[in-house]
Parts: sequence; C-alpha cells; structure tokens
Amino acid sequence: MKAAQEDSFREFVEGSWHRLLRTAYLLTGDHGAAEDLVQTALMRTYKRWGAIERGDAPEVYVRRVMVNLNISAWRRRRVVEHVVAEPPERPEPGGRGDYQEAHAVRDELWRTVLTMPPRMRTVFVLRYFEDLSEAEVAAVMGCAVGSVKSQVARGLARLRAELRVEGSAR
Amino acid sequence: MSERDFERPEEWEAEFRAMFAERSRDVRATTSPYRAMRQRILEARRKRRQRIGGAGAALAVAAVGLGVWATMSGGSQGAPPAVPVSTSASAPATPAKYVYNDGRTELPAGPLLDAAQQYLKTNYHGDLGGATVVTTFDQAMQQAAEASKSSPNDLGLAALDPRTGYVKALSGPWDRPAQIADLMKPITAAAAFETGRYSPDSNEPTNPDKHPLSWPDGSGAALQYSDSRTGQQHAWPPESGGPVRGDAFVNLREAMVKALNTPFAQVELASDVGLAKVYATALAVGMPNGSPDLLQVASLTLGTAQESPLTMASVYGVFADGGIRHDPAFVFMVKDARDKMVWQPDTTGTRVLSAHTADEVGDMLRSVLGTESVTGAPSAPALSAKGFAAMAGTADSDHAAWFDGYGADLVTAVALSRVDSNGNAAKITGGAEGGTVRGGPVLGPMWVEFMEKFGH
Repeated sequence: MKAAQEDSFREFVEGSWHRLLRTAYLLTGDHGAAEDLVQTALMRTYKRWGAIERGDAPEVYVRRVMVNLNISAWRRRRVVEHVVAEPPERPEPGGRGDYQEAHAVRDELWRTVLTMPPRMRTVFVLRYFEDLSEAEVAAVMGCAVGSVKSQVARGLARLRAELRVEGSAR
Repeated sequence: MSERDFERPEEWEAEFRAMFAERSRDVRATTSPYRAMRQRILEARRKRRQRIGGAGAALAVAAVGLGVWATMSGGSQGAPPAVPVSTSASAPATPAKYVYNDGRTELPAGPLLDAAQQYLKTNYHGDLGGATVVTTFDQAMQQAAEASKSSPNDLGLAALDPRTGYVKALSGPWDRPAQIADLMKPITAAAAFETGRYSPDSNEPTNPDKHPLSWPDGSGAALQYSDSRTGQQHAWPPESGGPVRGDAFVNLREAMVKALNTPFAQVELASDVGLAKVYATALAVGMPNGSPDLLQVASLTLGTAQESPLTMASVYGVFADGGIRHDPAFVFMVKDARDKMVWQPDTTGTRVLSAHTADEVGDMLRSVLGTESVTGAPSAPALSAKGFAAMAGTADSDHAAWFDGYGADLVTAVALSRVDSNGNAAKITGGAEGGTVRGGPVLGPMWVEFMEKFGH
C-alpha cells in the first residue's frame, strides 16, 4: 500500500472509529466483541482500501461488512449466551418520577434488544440508531424491503409481549 | 409501565432512538484506534510472510528431491547460495542508545532513562538492536527541574508539551500520587460548562447552612461533616476558613480565585450536572480509573483523589490544547542503526472537552494566576496577561500542596508531598509561621520562574 493510501486509511480509521464502535456495541451488546468486530471489519476494508477509497462512502462499506460479520459470527457460535438482565448503573437518580419511568422503559427496551436474534437486532440498530430508511437497511443487509418491515413488526410484537408479562407480574 | 402500550408507532420509535442513543454512550473510549489497527495489520502481514516463506522452503526441498542440487556438498539444507540473509540477522545486537531531544546528548542512568525504557517497552515492540532512541526530554529544562528542591519535603515536577503530550522534564517524585485538592475545581467547572448551562459568570451560594446540599438528589437529608477538633456537626462542605456566615453568592470565577469549596459542591450536586458527570469528566481528561480515592462520592469535587504530578500536568494540558487530550509520551522517535526513523508514537490525541469549555476554564485559570495574593509572585500577573493560566492547591491537614498551569506550549505541575520511612504519606512542613503549607505562596514563585524561562 502506498504511503498516501496508508495516510488516508489512518485518517478514515481515526475519524470513523468512534461511530463504528458505537454501532458495533449496539449490535453485539458487548464491549470486547464490539471492538473486535470493528477491527475485523476494518481489516477487510484495509485489504481493498485502494478501490474502496475511490468510492464515495467507505463507512457504508465498513458498516455492511460489520453487519454481515456479526450475523455470521452469531450463526457459527455453539454456546448460547445467557443475557444477564443487568440493572444499569444509575449513580444519578433523576429524582423526578417521569424520568425514572422513562429510564425503566429504556432499560426494558435494551434488554429486549439483547435477546433478539441478530438479524432482527441489526434491523433495529440500523433503523433507529443509524437512522437509515427501510430501503437503506435492506441494501446494507442484502435482503428485501419486505423482510425489513416484517422484522420490525415481529420485534414489536415481541416487545409488547414482554411488557405485558412484566406488567402482570407486578 | 403498563400504561405505555406502544400502540402509536412514533411513540416507540422515539423511545428506541432515545434508548440507542443513551446506550451507545456507554462505549469505552479507545485512545488510539489506529495504533491498535496497525498492530493487527502487521501481525497479519507477518503471518502471511511466514506462510509464503514456508512455501518457498518446500519448493527448494522438492528441487533437491529432483536432483538439481543433489551433488552439492551438505546440500541437505537445500538453500540456494544466492541468499546470504541469515548471517546478518544473527549478529549480536548492540544495545539501544537513549538521547535527549537534541538527538546527541546521551541520557544518564537514572529514573529518566528508566521511564523512557518502560514507555518504549509498552508501546514499541520492534527491534532495538543498534537503535538510537530520541527521547522527548529537554536537557536544559530537566537540569532546571532537578535543581529545584524543597527540603525536607519532596518536590515532584512534571512538564510537558500540551500540543503533543511530549514530556519535557521530570524530577523528584513525579509519579507519586498525592491529594489533588483544589486542582479538582477546574474539572468540576468543565463538567458544568459542558452542559451548556453554566459559565464563569454563573452565581452560586457560599453558605451551605442557607443552601443545604444533599446526595443522592432528593433524599432530603442535608450532607454534614464533623469538625475534627471540636466534634461539632456543620453543613457540608467544609471551608478552609471555617463555617461561612451570611448568605452571599459568588460567580464561579471568583470562587476559583478564592478556592471556595461550596460553590463547586453546589455545581457538582446540581440536578443538571450531577456527580456522575463530574466523575466521567475526571476520567475523560485523563485521571486513571482506579487512582487512589478517585471515587464517585460527594467529596470528589474537594479533590480527595490522589494523582501524580505527571497525571495532573497532562490533565491541565487538555485545557491548554483546547479540549484535546494527549497521552504523555516519553519517546520522540526510534532510529535504526542507519539513522533511519523507524517509529514514532501517535500523538494525535482525542477531543474530550469542547473547545468552548476549555477556553472558559482557561479564562478562569488566567484570573487565578493574575491575582497576586494567590501566588505571592510579583511577575505572575504579567504572565497571566500573556495568556498563561494556573491553579494552586492546598490539601487538607498538610498532605500535599500543588501548583499546576500552562502557557501555549508548556504545562507544568509541581507538588509537595512527603512519605515516612514506611512509605506512608506524611505531613509536609514549611508553611508561613507554622501554618498550613499553601500551594500558591510556597510553589507559585518557583513555578513562575520556571515558566518564564521555558514557556511561551
């Protein structure tokens, strides 16, 4: 790789790292796995950097690699992880009731996201964190727009069911 | 939660967006992503080379099998004679030479050399045989630093370039943690300014009796402390001048100059700032997680945490460089035996505060340095007018005294501390008329002299 390309790759890594890491964390739900995912995706990008750099959006490429890597990694794993419903560290109670209520709802959402199968989780992260349209999500994941819609619908049904269980338990 | 049934799409969409945004902020900051990437790329290349190398050897062996070199004496190793590479690689390695930043003068054995070697060991994994390591240390500055002493206390000094993190001079116990005391106040202020709701002109109360503080917020019980001499209970936080009378308000700039605890405690525990934010800011500007007594407790803003002079120099470097944090670097570059540069540390840095916040904190610290009664140095106001900024710190019960500040290209932290023969923290001595050893008057003049000579 030429020095100029090396430089532009370095610039790209430093500029986009944090954004990519955030997405990776939401996709994997784990700090170590997130870092590994970003690095592996960037390694693939590095190999073809000359061509990718000439395209206009390297970040789109990396994101796609990341999404696909994560889904196939999940398929390959044997051991089912136990998602620990960790209560979030909350050293700063807001004091106001509605704030705590909002927080409880978000905590519930995150726990639901952690139990989602990877394709469904990916759809939610791309749609509501990366703010991609349904068509863009479909393009990144290489599937039909219809399956993006159905994943969202099923995810919501799941969420409603979980909230109902929670509600009745109280 | 049962009333939230998520029937309306825009309602849960907003909820998901908020949740993801909130969660994504939990991601730990990586200081130098490219460096980590680089290691991985090099590792992959090395593995590939090994594979190709292996294939090459197999070919040669196959050729021997074919009888091409079958007549050669001792041809069992099979390497074609045109490859004499292996001889130079096994030559005895000459130890690396460590030099000052001038590139010539060799570093004497001692703590400085140890620090540079330790730094290289953790950050550079290449070959050092016959190499010249150009350190970041400035010989003149180092000599001046070593000349300043304060017997019987230990004077620790660390000076670095805030634009890169290059460490210029280190003397005394520069890595010994000591209670940072008032040096914490600018960090509390930075946390408040980051919210966009505070400025150096924000007014805060000075009397905790009239404006009781509580934590956790909403628990109702006012925080109190008991006076160690009289045993009496007072409203928290303590002030060095004893309990405050009246019900005055001061702005944060004045509170910084006078090193008042209460206004900063008010900010720290305010519902729109909060302890968690102050703690997170302390970590972001470079106080290592796990530093002694760096805890998420109300007294955090009083500076109960213990940090080393090197850490505090690099923390104030963040204010000096407009909110960018650079990890301290001890090595400028590594050159191989042929004088070719082979490695330099990454000094890009990471933005941890907005430029606006850094400027506002700097503005307050210029006021501190510009107040003659703080430093007792007649030339300090002139230095402040040139853009220099600083903060003095005086720890409770004579545990430490500090002076930490910067100009555009140099940040210097000096601390007085002392340990007894068992290595435990001991009281420092030498306060005016046997009183408390105050950072401003005791360390200010020597800091000013050092900065006048080396800072710009």
